[in-house]
Amino acid sequence: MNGVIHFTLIKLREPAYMIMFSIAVLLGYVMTGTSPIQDESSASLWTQIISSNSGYSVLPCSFVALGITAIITIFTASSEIPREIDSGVIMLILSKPISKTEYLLGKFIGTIIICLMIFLATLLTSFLTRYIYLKEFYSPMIIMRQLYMFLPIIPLTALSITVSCFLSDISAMIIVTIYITFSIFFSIVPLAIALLPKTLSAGVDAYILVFYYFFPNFIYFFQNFQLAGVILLSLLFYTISLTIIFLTIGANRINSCDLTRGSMS
Amino acid sequence: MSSKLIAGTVIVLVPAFIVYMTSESLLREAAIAGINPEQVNSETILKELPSQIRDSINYSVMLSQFKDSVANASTPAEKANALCTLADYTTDIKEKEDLFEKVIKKYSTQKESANAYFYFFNKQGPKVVKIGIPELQKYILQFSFLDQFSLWGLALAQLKSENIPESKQLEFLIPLLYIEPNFRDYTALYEKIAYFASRQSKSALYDKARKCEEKCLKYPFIETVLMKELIKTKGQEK
Repeated sequence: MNGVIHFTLIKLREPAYMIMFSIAVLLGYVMTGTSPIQDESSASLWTQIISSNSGYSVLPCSFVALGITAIITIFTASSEIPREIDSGVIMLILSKPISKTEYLLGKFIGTIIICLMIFLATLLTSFLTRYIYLKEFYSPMIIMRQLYMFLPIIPLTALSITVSCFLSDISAMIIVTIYITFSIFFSIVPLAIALLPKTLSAGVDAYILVFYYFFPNFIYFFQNFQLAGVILLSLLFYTISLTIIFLTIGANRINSCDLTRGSMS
Repeated sequence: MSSKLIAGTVIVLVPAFIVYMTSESLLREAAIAGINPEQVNSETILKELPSQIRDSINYSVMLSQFKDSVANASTPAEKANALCTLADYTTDIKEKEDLFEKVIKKYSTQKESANAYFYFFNKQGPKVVKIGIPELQKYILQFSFLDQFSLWGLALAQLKSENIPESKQLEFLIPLLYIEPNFRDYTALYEKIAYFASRQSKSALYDKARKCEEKCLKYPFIETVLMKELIKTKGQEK
């Protein structure tokens, strides 16, 4: 499995990754000093959730780091497996004593490491720039909160890898993007319904709530929370369970499909 | 897919789904707890929902309001009006037909029951209540000329919307030739009869309609009569 991880990490030498890495660092520099979103007066539920006074809030530089990392995740995780199947490299790797599930996990961990490096580079640039200009660091707790913003990347990577086990690289990227966009659009629905009085929400059809469970709710990763507590634990379990679900589906597919050259196209 | 692979998948997926559901519900509670209740109300929440869900909620709210109106109605006219409004609004066909049937059976002497008659008029298929032209005419003719006018107009519009042939529309309006309404507004209905009669080459009916029309021209408009009554009532109050 280490070989697969290493093989994935080699991609970082490609010019496209170098450019993305530079953009991430540049954006981290640009976003330095912007204050966290604190607009509790807004009636928007999104703003209410991400600007709650309790706990540590997310800094704009983390939003940018997350955004750029998400793009790289979708790009990398969706293209790795289909390209290796098309080029026949996968058969070469699988001729070694490694199972298909281990190969999938290797790809997953490799992609996570690439994304983590870019995410950390963006944040580190932002924090260091702040230190250079203002001679002050954020408190360790706020820094920790920003690091937790990497959590949504984990199920996103698992999702992209899983979809890429079913489709070609471009199709997988498109499908993942649509799925994530829809998840974000749909994320506020169960919260809004839960906030309504029972007499009003009784009219909502149950199938909408069942349908909701098919989409990860990314809004939970943005809410403010204390760094030790039920919310953090729940968030970790949520991330892990989602990742396991996606990877299991992906592992099932890769174990039961034909991986010879051109089979995905 | 081998049975071993299926078993492995189930063993992993079932606990993962349980953890997913549990953690999701905890996170949902936490997210809701973080919302400032002073800043959000039902209206702002509804605005954030997709139109399909918002419509579904609005529908249930309106339905319960109409049900309350039925419960609060005291006079037969109010009951008939409230039941017809509820029946018009509900999307449940069974409930709609039950309500309209109730209106026709219990409040057939109320002008507010007109929608129930229009709903069942000329309806195809097995229906408990069958309303044809004679039943509709009988229902309208029981009211004063003041109330009848709008009902004739609405009924005629209903006939048109259902593409009822002109011969049938003329048949429906025939009773108007045997009454003497004391309002000028009725001239429009007599004109309609004359129009249908001329198209169907029924000269006797045409002449009669024109005579009735002339008679009506002697009378005031409904609006004028109502206005006079209003002024009279206000004068008495003073």
